[in-house]
Formats: sequence, structure tokens, C-alpha cells
Amino acid sequence: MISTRNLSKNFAAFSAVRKVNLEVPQGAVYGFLGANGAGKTTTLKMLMGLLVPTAGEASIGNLDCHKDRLALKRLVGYLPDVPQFPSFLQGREILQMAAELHGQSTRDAKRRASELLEWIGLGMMAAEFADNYSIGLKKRLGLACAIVHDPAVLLLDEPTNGLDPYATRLIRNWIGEMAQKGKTIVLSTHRLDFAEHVCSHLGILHKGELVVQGELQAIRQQRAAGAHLEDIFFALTGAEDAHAIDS
Amino acid sequence: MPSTHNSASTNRILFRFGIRTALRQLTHIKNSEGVIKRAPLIVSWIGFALMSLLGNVSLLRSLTRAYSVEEKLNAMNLGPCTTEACQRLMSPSHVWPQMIQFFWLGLAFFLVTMMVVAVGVPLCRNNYSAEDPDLEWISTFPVRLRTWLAGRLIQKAMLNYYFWLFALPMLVVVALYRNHALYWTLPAAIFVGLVTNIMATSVGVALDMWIQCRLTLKRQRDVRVIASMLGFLIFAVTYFGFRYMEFGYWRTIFDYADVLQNNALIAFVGQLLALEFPGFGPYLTLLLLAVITAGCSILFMEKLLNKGLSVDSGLSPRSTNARRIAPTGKKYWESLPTMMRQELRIVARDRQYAFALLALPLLCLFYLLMPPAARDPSLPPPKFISELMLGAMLVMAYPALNRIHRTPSWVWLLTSSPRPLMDILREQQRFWVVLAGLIMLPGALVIHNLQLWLDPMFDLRYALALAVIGLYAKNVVDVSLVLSMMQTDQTRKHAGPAFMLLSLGPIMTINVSGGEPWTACGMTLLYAGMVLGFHDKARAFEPYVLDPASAPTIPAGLSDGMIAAMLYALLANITFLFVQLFSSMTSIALLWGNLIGGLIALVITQFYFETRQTTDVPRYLGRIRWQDLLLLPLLLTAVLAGGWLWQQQAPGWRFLDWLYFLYERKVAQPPPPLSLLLLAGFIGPLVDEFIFRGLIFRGARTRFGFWVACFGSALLATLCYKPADFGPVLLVGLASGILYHRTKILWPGVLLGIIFNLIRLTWY
Repeated sequence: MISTRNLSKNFAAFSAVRKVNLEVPQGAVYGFLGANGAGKTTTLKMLMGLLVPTAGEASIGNLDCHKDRLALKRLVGYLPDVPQFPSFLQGREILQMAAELHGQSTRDAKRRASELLEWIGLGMMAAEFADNYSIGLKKRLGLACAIVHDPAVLLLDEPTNGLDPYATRLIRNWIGEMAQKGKTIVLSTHRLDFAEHVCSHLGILHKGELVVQGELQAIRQQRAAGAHLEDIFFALTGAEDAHAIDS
Repeated sequence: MPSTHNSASTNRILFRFGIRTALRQLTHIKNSEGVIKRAPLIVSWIGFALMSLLGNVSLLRSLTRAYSVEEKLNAMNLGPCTTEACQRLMSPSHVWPQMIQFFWLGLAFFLVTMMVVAVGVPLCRNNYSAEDPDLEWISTFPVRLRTWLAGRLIQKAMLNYYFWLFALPMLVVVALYRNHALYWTLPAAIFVGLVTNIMATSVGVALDMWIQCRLTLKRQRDVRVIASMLGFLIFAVTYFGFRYMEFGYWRTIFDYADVLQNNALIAFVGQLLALEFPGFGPYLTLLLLAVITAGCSILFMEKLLNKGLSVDSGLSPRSTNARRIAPTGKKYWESLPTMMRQELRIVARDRQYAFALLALPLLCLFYLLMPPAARDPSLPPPKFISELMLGAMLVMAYPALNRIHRTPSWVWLLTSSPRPLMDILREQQRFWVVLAGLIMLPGALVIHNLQLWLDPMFDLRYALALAVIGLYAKNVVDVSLVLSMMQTDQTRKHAGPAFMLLSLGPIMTINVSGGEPWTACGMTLLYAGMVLGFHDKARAFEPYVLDPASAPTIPAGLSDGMIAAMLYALLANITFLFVQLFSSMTSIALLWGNLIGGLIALVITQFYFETRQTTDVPRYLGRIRWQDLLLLPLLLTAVLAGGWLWQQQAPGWRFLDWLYFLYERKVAQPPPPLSLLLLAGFIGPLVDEFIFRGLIFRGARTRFGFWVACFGSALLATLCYKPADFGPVLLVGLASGILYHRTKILWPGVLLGIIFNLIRLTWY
């Protein structure tokens, strides 16, 4: 469903992403792991067509992530790491606007916005300005915006960041449901326990390079049967750091 | 999922929500913490409404006089109001050009009113994201000050167009009532302004949304950087456009002397729009100005210059992107000598200084390029030097005030060799704040007013008093508070402007309204509303904290001065208004109004002082030692003798003559004796003691010691009087200073002033 070929992104002399070859099959929940600055967000932004790759290609479905980026936005829902909303608009209005921008009629958009806000737990806060939301609430609203058009593919950048345990569980269950419906989900996260619970596939980025990817079970068996994801992660991204932390 | 998605529908949706966003800003503000909430705008609304209604009533009244057929005929020496003469005067060929002129007059009135009204509005909205390093140079560069004047103010004011919402229906009623084409021009202009405003704001917001939705991050940055540059260019054009016009042209083509006298606001506009160049016709210039200012500034200044840079534009050398992008010019950079690179780095770090340094030569160039042959010889000579000085003051003083806690790079640049000296000076931060304030406020006002031919005394008095109150001494103004505000990231960029607002607000209120009480009432109320209503922003300034529990402990001073000035303006003008309603004699009314208003203001202020929990304000009569009171007759005798001597020896002595030449010309007729007696005999001493001893002397004493404070406050007081009174005022000031110092209360000084003035008025 999603594939990249030698996808790279440089910021002047600094190369944030280096020759990443992603393969995300349809219906997969693909966990994108990596330390801070590993290039997760940059990769997601390139997949979304928000950043122009320095080299390489990326495609989702049949669409090129850069050339067809407008059409892509109809197919893909994107939750940025730090969602930002227009000032002086309420949460409900923002969601409604997002729905309308995706081609829904005003009436449908309103209905959809109400449903989603209730579902995501923002019903009480719907009439509040999005600027006044806490980080967690903004994240919820961002998620609602991302799924307002019921996309086939979801790119979620740190979906659980700033969320309380209830919302985290809600998201976790919802991701499972989406996967069962055949949606493809790519999510980046620092939370290995969350990834372990949710993801069917895994890709680990380290300093801009994809050090491993594949099905979670397969990776586990490759490394050592029954190994924890945490151990695998540290082994792949720099054991010395882990030792340093331990000691 | 329906799929009717196309470009037009997207734009329509963005536009719709853009309008919603724009309209919502009428009732909500974003406070300094970035929280949007319904604002306590009621006082401001009332102020706007009142100002709008009253200001326009008076404007129309003035214009009615200016356009009344009888007076017009007389003024034009067309003889008595015969039918033919009236017909000639009211004929389309005569009226139509006036209509056009009136249209522009209205537009100009609109623009400048908005400028004045909106001084505080940008401060009340936290448009700048606190953590965004890119915005810092905008917020501190003097362009901010000028942008306010040239574009941002107008835009902001337009965004808050309550004023015209109130004005429009009223003007329509008046126009219907007068049933004259002339009266339709103003509402028409306002209507156009309103529609333009709403449209442009919505377009601006929609454009911004469009940029966000449609462009990649990289493109967004590029577009916004270009737009920001364009915005800056437009600002420059607008600024120079203002400077490019000549009051004389207005004056000759459009006889609005009456309006000019009765509405200082319009005089202000005409004169502000005025300087120097007769090459352009006024229509063309104004049209250009209006289009550029109203249209472009809305679109570019606000939405692009301000908001556009809220993404990491790479313009600021501190931004992370800039560091990544910068190496493109690396080779060139490395070829520069080390010393130059260091200096450039400083300039780049505080980019505003680079612009500031650029602005001055540009200004010079502008004047040099102006063809001398194009000048009308009957007009006053170009105010090159004063313009330059004004520019320099604004350019230098504002950043100095605002960024005083940081390295003042322009100082570094100008004096890069004796660095140790500058290090020492830099540690004297307060000195720079005080100096900057002292240079900037009165200096700019004096220069401006001299060249604008407004009444310099009027401005000078309040400018001096308030600027000094606002900036002078530590106990009076808590400079350390301002400095500490500047030193925290959250509040730093607001401190300078907020400080200026607080200092300038009452000055503006009093002066811009001029002799126009309606306008002044509304403006004062507006100002009060802004300060009180937006107390979130003003929270750090103690008097406006509505919740006393959270108030920081600050000595009285700034607040009291501001409140006093505000009260004075409000009450003086209200009384003036009422007196004028019943007397129809403006000069007497002005005096009575000032008199009664001042008295009431003093009583209230005094009451305020008494009830406030301040430590430094002496209010216990029991403190007085009777021995100290013996000083009163002694000093009074000395002052009387000195005053008599002065009267004998130096009747024509003129102090700082150039400050007064216009004033002298204005006071041709003597004021009526009773009100003069009351004003000069009682109110004058009260006000003087209150301001010069109670605030200035008290504050200056803690900082500079007794003698400097005593002489300084007395000298400042002399500036507010006629030069012929220099000696007596100085003597009274010194004596009052001594009395206050000894007795620790103001009343002996007041008494001395009253006795001395009464004797002088009746005997000398």
C-alpha cells in the first residue's frame, strides 16, 4: 500500500532521512519507532506531501506522494505531531471545516463533526476554541480531523502523545478496529509497549536510516524468540546508550 | 463520501471560515497566555461608541459651519447671500469638487482616527507567538512603531471596526436630515471602508488558510518570506507616501480653516499627511495612500508580515532553518575580514538595527533626490533636519527602550572601538531607559509639533509632564519592573510598547482631540476601557490589576500619574463640553472646562492617593513639624521679592524662545478675569505641586538627590509656562521643593503657589 524507494531528505548539510525503503502492506498497522530526531516525522511529512524529498520516491496506493499530493490528501488522513489550528475557531467548527474541505456537504460535515467529537471525548469541549485546548485535547481534535473523511490510509505522528490512559486505550482499540476494516495505518511512537500491543508491522529508524522492518513476530523470532520489543529496539539503535542508561 | 471537491469550493469554504474568524475577533481576544476568551470589551465598546458618535457630531458640526452658505459666501467675498450667489455656490460644478475633497477628508479622518484609536489594540492581542524567534525582530524593530502608524494600526483598527458600526447609521441619519450631497460623502466613505475592511480581512484570513492548506511547508515558507518582504516594501512606500505630501496644498485647495480650528484631529491629519513635496496633486497622493494603506497593509502587513513569519522563515539567523540554509553564502562570508564579520553578525543578530541604520540614509537620499524646482516657493522650507532628527530619535530610541537589556548593537556599531566604555554603560541599564524615554517622548513630540504647527505648548506641557512621570525616576515609575518585564521571555516584547502606551495614551487623548471635547471624552473613555478592559495584558502594571491579591507590590507612581492624567482629560473635557453647550463661547468654555475638570480630577486623584495603600505618599498631617512650617512665610517673602525683581528687571526675558513663538501668536486675546483668577490662582498651583513636586521631585530625589530634583522639577515646570514667567515659576518651584522636602506634604507648597499667584495677578 505504502512504499518508498531510497527516500532521502537533507536539510542543507544535515541529512534527516537516508535512503529509506518502506514497505507497508494493506491492512497493516505499521509502527514507526526511533529515537528523537531519527527522522520519523520527516518521513511522515514526505509521505503526506508536505516536504519535498531530496531524493527517492514515495507512493501511497497508486499516488506519488509529491506529484499527486492534493489527491493524496483525499486518500490519507494525517495527524501531525503538534496539531495546529486556526485561531478563533471552535473545535467543532474546525472539524466541520475539515470535513467540508474534504468535499462533504455542510449538513453532513456538521453531523460528522458531532459524531466524531462525541466519540473522541470532546463533546463537552466542542464549543471551546481549539487554541484553548490542552495538548491532549488538541491531539484528539487533530485525530478527529485526520479521520473525518474516513481515509483508507492513516499517518499518525505520535498519536498517544499527551493523551490520558482512557484516550490511549480508546485509540488502541480503535486502531485495532480500523485494521480489521482493512485500513492501513502508519504510526510513529516512542512508546514501545503501545507499539507492541497495536502494531502488526514494525520499522525502526536510527539516525535517518531504516535499520529493520517487517512483521513484528518475524522480527522477534529473528532476534530471539520471545524477546521484548524494548530489547530489540535498544539492540538495534545503539546498545551502548542503553548500557549507559542502565549503569 | 461525496466528492464535489474542487478549487472553487475549497476557496469558498476557506473564505467562509475566514469571515467567521475575522468577525469573532470583535468579541474575543487572545491574551498573553495565548488563551482566547470573550473579552471584557464593554468599556471599550462604550468608548468607541461615544467617541464615534460624539466625534462625528462635532465633525459634522464643524463641517456644517465650514459649509454653511452664509459663512462661505462671506469667506469668499461673494457678498450677501443672494439667490444667484447661493445658486452659484451650490451648483454642481462648485459642489462636486468639494464633494470629492470631502470624501478624501473623510477618508483621511477615518484613517487617522483609526491610527489613534488603535494604539492599544495591538498590545491587547498577543499576535506574536512567544517562542518564535523570527518574530522578535519585528516586534522590536522600530518598524513596529512605524508599522502601527502606517499600516498595522489602521488594519488593527479596521479589524475592530465598532467605531464605524456606530458611526454609519448616525451619519446616515444626519445626511438624511441635512439632505445634502456633501453629507453623504462621509457615510459613503465609511461604508466603503467597512466593506473593504471586512472583505480584505476575510480574504487575508482565507489567503492564509489557503497557504496553509495548499502549499507544502517549503513553499509556504517561500511565499511568506516573499510576502513579508513585499509587506516591508509597502510599509516603506506608505511611510514615505505620508512624508510626501504638503499641508499647504490642502490648505490652498480646500478652505477648511474652520474645521481645522475646531477639530484638531483633522488638522492633525492634514498636517500629518502633509510634508514637503508639491509635485503630486493631493487627490492622486491621497488616492495612492488610501489604496496602499487600506488595501495592501491589511493584506500584507497583518496576514503576511505578522502571521506569515510565524513559520520558521529562515529570516532570523537564530532560526534553526537559517542555520541549515546559511552556508550557501559561506564563501563570500568567509572572505570578509574578521572584524567586519563580527560586526555584521551583531547586526544580523539584532536585525532591526540593520534596518534602522538603513532607514536613515534612505531618508537622506529621499530628500536629496527631491527636485528643488518642484517646490512651491511660498511653502515653508523642507524640514530636512528636523525630519532627520525625528527619524533618528525614533529609530534609535525605540529599540533602545525595548531592547535595553540586550546589547544595544547600534551603540556597538557606532562606537565599536571603545568597547570597555560601552560595557560600563551597558550595565547602567536604567540610565538608558531613562535617556531613551526622555529623548523619545518629549523630543519627538516637540519636534513633530513644531513642524506640524500645532499648539506646541499644549503638547509640550503634557508630553513633558507625562513623559517625565512615565519615565523619570525610580520611585515614580518602577523602572525595575519594566526592566524585569523585559527580561522575561513572555513579557519582554510587550514591555516597551506597553510602557509607551501607558505614557502616550493620555497625551494622545488630550492632544489629538485638541479642543474637541466630544472626541476627547470618547477617547479618554476608550483609553480607560483599553487599560481596564484588557487588564490581562496590563496585569503587570499594578493599578490595573483588578484582583488585589495577585498584585505585585509596586510603589505608587506611574499608575497614579496615568490615572490623574486620564481623569484630568476626561473630566476637563466633559466639563468643557457642558460649559460649551450653555455658553457658545469657546475660549471661556475652554478655561472653565479646564478649571472645573482639573479641580474635580484633583479631588478624585487626591482621594485616590489617600485611599491607596502606598507607603511613600505622605498623607499624615501629624507628621509636620511646626518649625518647618515657619519656612513658608520666609520662602514666600523671598519668592515675592524675587518675583518683583524679575518683573522689574527682566520683563521681556525669553527663555527657550523657539519653543514659544507659536504660542505667543496664539494667545492674542486675554482670557476672562474670573476664570483666569481661579485657574492661575488655585488650580495652577495645585496641579503644579501635584505633578512637579508630588511626582517628579519625589521620584527624582530618591535617585539624584535633593538639589538636582529640586532644580530639575522647577526647571521642568518653567517649560510649561510662558517665557516671561520663567523667573517666578523657577523661584516658586524651588521654594515648593524645599517646603515639600522639609514638611513632607504638598500643601504648604500649594499654599505658597496660591498666595504668590494671587498677589502676582492682582498686584504686579
